[in-house]
Amino acid sequence: MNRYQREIILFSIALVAILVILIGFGEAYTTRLMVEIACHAVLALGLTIQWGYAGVFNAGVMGFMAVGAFVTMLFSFSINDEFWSSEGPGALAGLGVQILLLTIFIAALTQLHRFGISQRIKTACLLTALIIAFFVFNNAVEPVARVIESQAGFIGGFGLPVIVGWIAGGITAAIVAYGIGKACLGLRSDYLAIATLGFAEIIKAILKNADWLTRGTLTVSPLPWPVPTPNDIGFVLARSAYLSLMAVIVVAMFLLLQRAYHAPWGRMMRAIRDNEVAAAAMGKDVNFRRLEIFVLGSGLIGIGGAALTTFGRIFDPAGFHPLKNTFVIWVMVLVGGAGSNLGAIFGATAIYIIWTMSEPLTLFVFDVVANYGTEWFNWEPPADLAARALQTRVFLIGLTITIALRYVPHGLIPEDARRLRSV
Amino acid sequence: MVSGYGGEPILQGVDIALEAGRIGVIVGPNGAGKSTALKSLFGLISLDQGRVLFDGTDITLVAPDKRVGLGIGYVPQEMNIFPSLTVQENLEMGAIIRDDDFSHVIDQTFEIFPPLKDKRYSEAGQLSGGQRQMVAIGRALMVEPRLLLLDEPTVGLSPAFVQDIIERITSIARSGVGILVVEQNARRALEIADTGFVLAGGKNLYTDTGENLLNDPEVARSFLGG
Amino acid sequence: MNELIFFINKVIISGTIIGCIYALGAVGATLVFGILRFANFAHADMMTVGAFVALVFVSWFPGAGSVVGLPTGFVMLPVAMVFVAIMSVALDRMFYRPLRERNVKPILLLVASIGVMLMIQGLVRLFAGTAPRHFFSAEKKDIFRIELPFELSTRDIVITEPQILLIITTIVCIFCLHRFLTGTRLGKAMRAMSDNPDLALITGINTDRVVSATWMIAGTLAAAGGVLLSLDVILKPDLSFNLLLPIFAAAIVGGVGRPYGAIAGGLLVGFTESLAIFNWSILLRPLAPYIPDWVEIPSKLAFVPTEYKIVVPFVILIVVLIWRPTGIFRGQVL
Repeated sequence: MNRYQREIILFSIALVAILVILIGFGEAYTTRLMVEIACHAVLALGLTIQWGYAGVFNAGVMGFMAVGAFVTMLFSFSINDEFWSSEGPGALAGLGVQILLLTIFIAALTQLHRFGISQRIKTACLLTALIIAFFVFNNAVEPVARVIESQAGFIGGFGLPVIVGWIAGGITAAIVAYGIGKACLGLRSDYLAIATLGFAEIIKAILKNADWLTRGTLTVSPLPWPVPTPNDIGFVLARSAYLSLMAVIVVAMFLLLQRAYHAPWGRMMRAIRDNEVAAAAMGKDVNFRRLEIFVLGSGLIGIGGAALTTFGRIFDPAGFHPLKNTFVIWVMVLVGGAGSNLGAIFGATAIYIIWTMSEPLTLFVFDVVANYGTEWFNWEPPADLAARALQTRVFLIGLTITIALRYVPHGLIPEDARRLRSV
Repeated sequence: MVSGYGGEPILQGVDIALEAGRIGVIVGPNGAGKSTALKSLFGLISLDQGRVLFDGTDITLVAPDKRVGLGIGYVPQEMNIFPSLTVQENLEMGAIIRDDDFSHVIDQTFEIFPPLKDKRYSEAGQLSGGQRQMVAIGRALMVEPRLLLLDEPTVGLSPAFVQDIIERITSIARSGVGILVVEQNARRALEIADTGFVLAGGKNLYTDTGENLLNDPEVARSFLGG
Repeated sequence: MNELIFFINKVIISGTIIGCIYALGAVGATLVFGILRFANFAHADMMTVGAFVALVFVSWFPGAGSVVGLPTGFVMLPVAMVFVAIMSVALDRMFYRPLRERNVKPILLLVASIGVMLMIQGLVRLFAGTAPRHFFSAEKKDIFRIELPFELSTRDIVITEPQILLIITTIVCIFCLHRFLTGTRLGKAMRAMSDNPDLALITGINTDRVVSATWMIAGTLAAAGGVLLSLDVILKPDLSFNLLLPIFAAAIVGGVGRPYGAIAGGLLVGFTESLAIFNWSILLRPLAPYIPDWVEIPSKLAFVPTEYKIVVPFVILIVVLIWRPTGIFRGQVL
């Protein structure tokens, strides 16, 4: 098989699947599915450059998605006049001043060594100050949050264009990634995996509980779209417009990443991935490069999360789930082929279709099983059968990961370097 | 032997032979393939060509951990102890493949390396460099090997310790153990060598008794710094 | 005085309890991390499986506990431990060993462990549902109230039977583990392999046996932790991620590959958590007469609101990674 035949066959299968869905479920559903695929393709591209290009392990995709989604909501949601006319902004500004003072104080402490104070005492002072600052900050947020929540609900958005929100979301996710990466990237990837997993849970906890900022479990909707919404021009047309926008983004990203892959920069990243010691010996700043790609990939994931949430029109922090938002993306990357941009896009398409279709399918299968079970064995199905049935998908995702690792370690569309070598 | 780590072989034809109870020393410039030769003998690197014979038996295809059972002890150059285990436990680990009572071997080891006896219940990682090297050699001695392979046992040690270790190596050999040492301190090592192997570029350059090599002006000029 | 008792109940007792749970989890995690060189993400789910197995046996033999006068769930603890120990070895044979034999980088084992984690989660929730379960639906939970002989105290120190059992079991487990690691050849070989796997191999240590033993210990302790946690509070099938982070924080704080460090780390994380979410204004209240009027004691004064509890292990983890990546017991940095 020459190197293009395989891709053509795989993508043809995906295309046929989409056509079947188009016939079976109609245009509105199919356009929605395709937009979501495109959003997941962005996410998968972000993850594949981290894991596939440089071997950087990010188990907190959900966290970066959530950051991107939140920032988009904050930037693009309509301005909440009630908030701006309440005591909220004043209280918030007061909080801001407090944070500023604390930051200045701590920044001053980091310079203590200039006054001849030993490193050990400095560290101790700094740690104590940080704990006290955190304590003060924590207990200062509470009253401000109460004021805002009682007078205005939440602070609302800035009413800026959606695209600005997406870009801001990506940048914020990248900044957050920089902070985490600074702390953990020097160590082996396991530590980063644990840290990012924890970070994602924390982000979720914060967004879920900070009602004044995000309305928490009350959710924020409807989010504005960068293109006309279904209310204006109908489902199919609006979703097609959204799809065109996403297609442009995916294609642009693909081309840029493909260029980067074949550029000396990409070769260097692969060298770091395959043999860190040798790369370091050749004078590459391994940690800086890994931080670079971690930040870049997380930024892309932030944009992907922003686009996906915007498309759903609702910002619901409780709706983020590690399975759906982290591990499904991982499966896309692993099945597609780590480090392969085309593989990431194919993985996103194939896995997302399977993932979406498996929901009605498992429900159907379990319904049948339950019916026959009741009829033949007098089995009484549990009341939460539907919720349980969906858990088979969790099992299948896990199984796919282990199978992919063992039998197709390089994915269905291996990265270019591997493919070109074997031809 | 011809072997290497894939690609161009590092060893391009090296012959090493040693009789029981003798000391063989492998010397040569950096990159000559000294450590590779030792690893190949122990089976850590599989041979591309050639054979490894031990007591007349072909052991070329025997896995390294099985060679320990045959009576070959190997002490790697670095990371050659279990740092969080006590000295005693390190020695016990050396005897892990033995099912018989080996307490007398531990006592013998403490006789060869008296400093270890006082430290038997301290963590090996806390010991000085020379003592760690003793632990490493002691661990390999626990199977009562007939051949001991030592990869640069004196590297990083202060001169007093170097002398100390080298003397102990001779006393181990006197008890009937064949010892093959890779050594940077070529002059010192050749002084105790029954046979010296000078390697360069992955090939045998000279093989002779230690004394003859030391007196050979050619060898002295090229490898012993004049 | 009451305030102090409140402090003991909320910080000392709950800190010890949760610390023991983390310790039981962290010991297994640190052994697997040290010997197999990867962070096993499925570890917390092994705990869930243990609790679930015990629950199933409780439903089969509901009267078993009253025979010996202990909670039935606790009586089923050995069953759960054996089950999870065998399961861990089986999982290793099925999913991890084939990868090890291919000599892949250890990080791929971590990816595989994520797969295993999801499979376990899926199966447990498929059969057990997603709703929380109680061990004490049929039996009564014994609660001990210790009155203090002080005039000022009207409240009691409260500790429940499962909590006492938890502390005792943890101590027993740790003692047995200590005896195993320092007193048996296999235990010493395990420590040796965690110290220096390459040397272990060429010394002739049977690495296969060590790996199996590691999994069995990890599984046993995980099951113990899972059952005891569920006895103390409730069995939540979706506990996984909330346990994983503190467990790994504990393992890394203690030093990877250092079981004793993991115990210390577990208790440290547990106590820090309890201290962080403790409402300090309660302790300040008796001091109210001495505090100037213009300082108002807020009704709630905690380092971290309870809903952000997960921040605590995360911060501990990051602080340790920055300042002392080898942990307090000088483990490996992998």
